[in-house]
Amino acid sequence: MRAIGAIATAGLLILSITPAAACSIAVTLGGVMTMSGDYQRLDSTATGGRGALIAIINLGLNAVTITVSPPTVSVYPAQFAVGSAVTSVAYSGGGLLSGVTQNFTTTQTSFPVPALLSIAAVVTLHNRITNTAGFQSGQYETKTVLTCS
Amino acid sequence: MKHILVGLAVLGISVIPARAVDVTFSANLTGVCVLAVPTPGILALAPSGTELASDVGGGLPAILTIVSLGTNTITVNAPSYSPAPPSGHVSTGETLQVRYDGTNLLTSVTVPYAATNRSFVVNALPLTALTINARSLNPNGYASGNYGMRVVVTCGP
Repeated sequence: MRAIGAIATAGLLILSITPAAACSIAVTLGGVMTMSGDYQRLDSTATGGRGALIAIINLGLNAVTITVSPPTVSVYPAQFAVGSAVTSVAYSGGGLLSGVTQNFTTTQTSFPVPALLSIAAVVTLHNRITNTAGFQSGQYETKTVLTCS
Repeated sequence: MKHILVGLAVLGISVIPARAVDVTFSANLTGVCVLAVPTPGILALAPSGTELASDVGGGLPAILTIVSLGTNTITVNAPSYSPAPPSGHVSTGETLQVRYDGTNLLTSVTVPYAATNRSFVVNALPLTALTINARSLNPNGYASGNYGMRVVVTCGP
């Protein structure tokens, strides 16, 4: 009997999908800050202000975590004392995220998003700048980063 | 014996890292200067009988609050009677004066009594108080009745 050698080659392709790939975050409405009544804060919760609206979807089989960074002041007038400004962020969830709530904080925070969240849940985000040195007239902008992991 | 060589190629693909979005908030502040008087003053007669002032026993200074977005000039005008003094009041030789002192970010503003208009410049200023005192110096004394003084303060670029 003749031995037959055969060379078989098999290619095996492994495709793994991390939970983050199934997570989607979208800003549906940007926020607007106005001056507080005591003129000590630029605040999206002040009269005339508006929170930002964030839509979150998680199609994965596992829960994911949304990390919320404290805001940074990205645009401000040249004479504004940005070094003495204190920024903070607050948020609250709706729908299946109605249990998500965070009072104004200056630190990084996070919250879980359940698996198979196929209908977008909306989170309302607020920003605030407090400055004991006061405010100059001009344009201001803050930025908060939301990360899904 | 059969030898089978199997080459196995494994290709692993690691996926897209965590997703992130920037959420922005905007604000546009125009030049603003806001003045308010949460506490009006009270005048009292000094024991000498020739001075009616807010900083003698029984008197009370007025408190003016200022908020400024950007640079503005605050002008404190000399006082005047308002309403007019009572009948019988002799104003010959009388002088009406005002002085003021700043608090917090305005502690450098300390201006003594004078009968003239004076000004100072403010930059970005959160809610800050200015204490204002007014007085009348009259060698003829004062007829009985109600007296009131008005000090006009303006703020503008």
